[in-house]
Amino acid sequence: MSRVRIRFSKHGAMKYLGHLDLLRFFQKAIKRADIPVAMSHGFSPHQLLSFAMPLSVGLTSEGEYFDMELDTKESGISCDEIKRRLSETMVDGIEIMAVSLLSKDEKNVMAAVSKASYVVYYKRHPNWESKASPKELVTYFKELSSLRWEKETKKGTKVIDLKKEVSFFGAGCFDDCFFKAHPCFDNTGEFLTKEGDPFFLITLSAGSNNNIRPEAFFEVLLNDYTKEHYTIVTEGNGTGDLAVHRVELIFDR
Amino acid sequence: MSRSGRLALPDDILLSVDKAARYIGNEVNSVIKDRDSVDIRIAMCFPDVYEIGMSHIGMQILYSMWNERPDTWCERVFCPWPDLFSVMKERGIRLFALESQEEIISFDFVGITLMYEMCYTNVLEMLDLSGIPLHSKDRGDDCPIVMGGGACTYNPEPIAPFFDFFYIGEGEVMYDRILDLYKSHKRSGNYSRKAFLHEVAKLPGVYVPSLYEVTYNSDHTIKAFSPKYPDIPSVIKRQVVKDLDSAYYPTKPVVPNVRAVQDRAVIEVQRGCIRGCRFCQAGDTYRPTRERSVEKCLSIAKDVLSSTGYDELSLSSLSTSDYRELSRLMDELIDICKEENVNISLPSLRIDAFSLDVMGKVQDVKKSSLTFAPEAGSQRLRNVINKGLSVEDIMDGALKAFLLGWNKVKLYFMLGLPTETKEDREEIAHLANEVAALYYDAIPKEKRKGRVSINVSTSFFVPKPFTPFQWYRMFPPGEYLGRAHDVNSTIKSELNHKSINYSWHDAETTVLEGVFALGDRRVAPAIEYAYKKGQIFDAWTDFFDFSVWEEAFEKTGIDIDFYIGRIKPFREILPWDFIDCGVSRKFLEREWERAMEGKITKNCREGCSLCGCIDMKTGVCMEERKREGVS
Repeated sequence: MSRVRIRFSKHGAMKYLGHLDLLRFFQKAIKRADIPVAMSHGFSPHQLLSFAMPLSVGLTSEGEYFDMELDTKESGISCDEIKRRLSETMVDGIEIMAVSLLSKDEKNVMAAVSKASYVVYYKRHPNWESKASPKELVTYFKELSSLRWEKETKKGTKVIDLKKEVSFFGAGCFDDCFFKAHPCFDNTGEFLTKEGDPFFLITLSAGSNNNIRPEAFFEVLLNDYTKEHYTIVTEGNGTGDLAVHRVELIFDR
Repeated sequence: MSRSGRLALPDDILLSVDKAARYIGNEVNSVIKDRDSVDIRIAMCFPDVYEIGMSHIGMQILYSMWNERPDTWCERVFCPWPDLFSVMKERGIRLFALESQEEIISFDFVGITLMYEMCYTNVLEMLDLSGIPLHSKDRGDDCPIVMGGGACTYNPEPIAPFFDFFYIGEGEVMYDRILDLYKSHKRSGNYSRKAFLHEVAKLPGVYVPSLYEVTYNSDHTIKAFSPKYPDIPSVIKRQVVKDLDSAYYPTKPVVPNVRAVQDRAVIEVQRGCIRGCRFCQAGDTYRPTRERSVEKCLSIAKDVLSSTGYDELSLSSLSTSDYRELSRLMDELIDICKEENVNISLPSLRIDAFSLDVMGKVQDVKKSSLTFAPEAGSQRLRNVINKGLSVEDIMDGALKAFLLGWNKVKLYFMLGLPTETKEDREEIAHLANEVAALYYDAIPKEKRKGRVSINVSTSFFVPKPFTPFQWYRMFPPGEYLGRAHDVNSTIKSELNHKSINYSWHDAETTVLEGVFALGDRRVAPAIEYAYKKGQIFDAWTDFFDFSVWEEAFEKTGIDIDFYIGRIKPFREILPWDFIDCGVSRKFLEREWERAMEGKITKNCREGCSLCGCIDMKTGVCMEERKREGVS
């Protein structure tokens, strides 16, 4: 059985699509594209797909992945052909970025994810420029010995040291090179970033075991730094100060 | 063509409302055109939430059909959910179309699909949010033309003041001429909506309420209903598609981004029903029964599946069992669907050996349930309503199904039917009990997969225009609940009551539906009053508040008993009498009398009962069969 890993972006209007609706979108797209996907057995067979790391509604991404098993009975189909056929049936806001063949012993995409990188930036709300500057905030974080987060879970409160969950944290500015390197980076509507605006780049633990959502990290860090209450963009919370764009998932080999 | 990517709603709103993807458009097969290259822009409005509206096949037909015209761009609009409604009101954001995300007040037409009466306050919500004056008389030349179509137009009077015109009948027939007429009026350079409405009123099937005058007797009944001008027709004739095979059918339906109620490919195999159940409006207003050929259905199925990627397909019609070549159609569809890994979901077929065989092939027996709709508990009452389903049919079908492994049964009934007695209601419970007993008798203990589950549900009967029961009355909510209680308490006393679950429809909603179904123009102010008091989404129990409606009727001086609380004499002019829907008044009166005598009437294939639709010269009326009069 051969498997392929598909990388795609989610941006523009499609950033408002929920995870389950996104699954249904791809199930139908694969049928429209007539990809020989392997099916499960049983009375109502379903496509053998495996998605990594659901993205919160409202976040954009150019690092979304799913694995797809191919039906080996069908004649061989190349990764390029899969990319071409899927791309033809996409809508604005979802782009197929890459399709690659997986070796037999490769873990499935959800199990393989260990980290995720994000670009995080202030929305251009009124007086957004008075917010903590990314440079200062990065320095502040680096000098901390620990950053305690009391995470509310179904089983109770869990204490996490966020210092241990960050493998990279830096600040930068949007420039022409950035926009060229990340063509899927677009913000719809009213808080479009401009050249020179600052951003954070952060790599956080991710995956099924120890997943840190960037929204949560920044909420804890900003509250610690400013002692003010920040709210970060998440579903059901429209007053966020920060926007989040997932750049890439990092896999364990 | 790609749109600019701008959305009508700002990010903070989209992130704060439930299911934001309802409002972004951008679906597969949605149509984007260049606004500067079209002459006519239509906002097709469905006055309910996205997931419901996107499941409506009629809307998909008109959407695709209009967009086939190079000069026309039709876009979709659904009713914003109450969470968004209040934000839009507060911030003064106007209602927009999904495709262009532009405000619909700048469009040429606002077309509103009227599928059920309980959406009437949502109609007002959509007009209000658009910035369009609620009343036709208050709209200027630069305002879109507000048109209505769909099932409720068989009595459009309670919402008449809010519409510029209604289209009565099947949309495929006359809309091209309407749009052409509009274009020529616009081109003339001195467009006036008044002049356009006067001209469009002369097209068959078009009803412009403002061009008709209603006068009343001292007892409040209608004295006369007549056109204000001699060149305006006094009777509006329902428009009917003659040949379904050549009628437009969308092969690239829009695929919803948010899971719709119908998340599947839908093939309309037939229009109309031969059965003639006396309570059923669709059974009369879609006459005569017309079939789409097997070949056409198959080609549509293939095209829709490949353009949408759906993994489920469903057949749509009022009574699929009466489709004459169902066996061949199913065989061919099963072949196509197996190959494509597509499931077939079956509409409610009459339960018999054939349908059980088909269901066994395409459905997981363990999950599916059998549905019977006897509608009335006793044979006597079933004869009154002309529902040709006998206890033997039900027992026979249920037995076969039990032996094949089914153990879930749904039974649908109505309460409040003409001539109904307490005994009829008790029969509902007895019937449910007998079906349960049959299971325990027929299936040996070791072969049973748990207890049989019988779900009985009752709705309250609402008399509808153009049915033989259109003269009948309704009852106060308390009376309806008493009738449901009769059923409930009898079920509790049955031997197998533990296997029977009973639910009933909301009585107050039913009463309101009756007022809208049977009302006249004088009801409109109450709808407006209730809307202004905050009533929207009345079809959703979470938002329905009967006390607001009681207040609305009181403040606007409406006695609902006048509309729903009395049996009306044949001589009375009914609000919808100006519509010629194909079935004759004589036929309806005859059917009412036969109902009172408990006489059944043959279905259209067994023998013509001279309803009048034969004048349309199509469908079942043209099939080879014995023609006989009424005994």
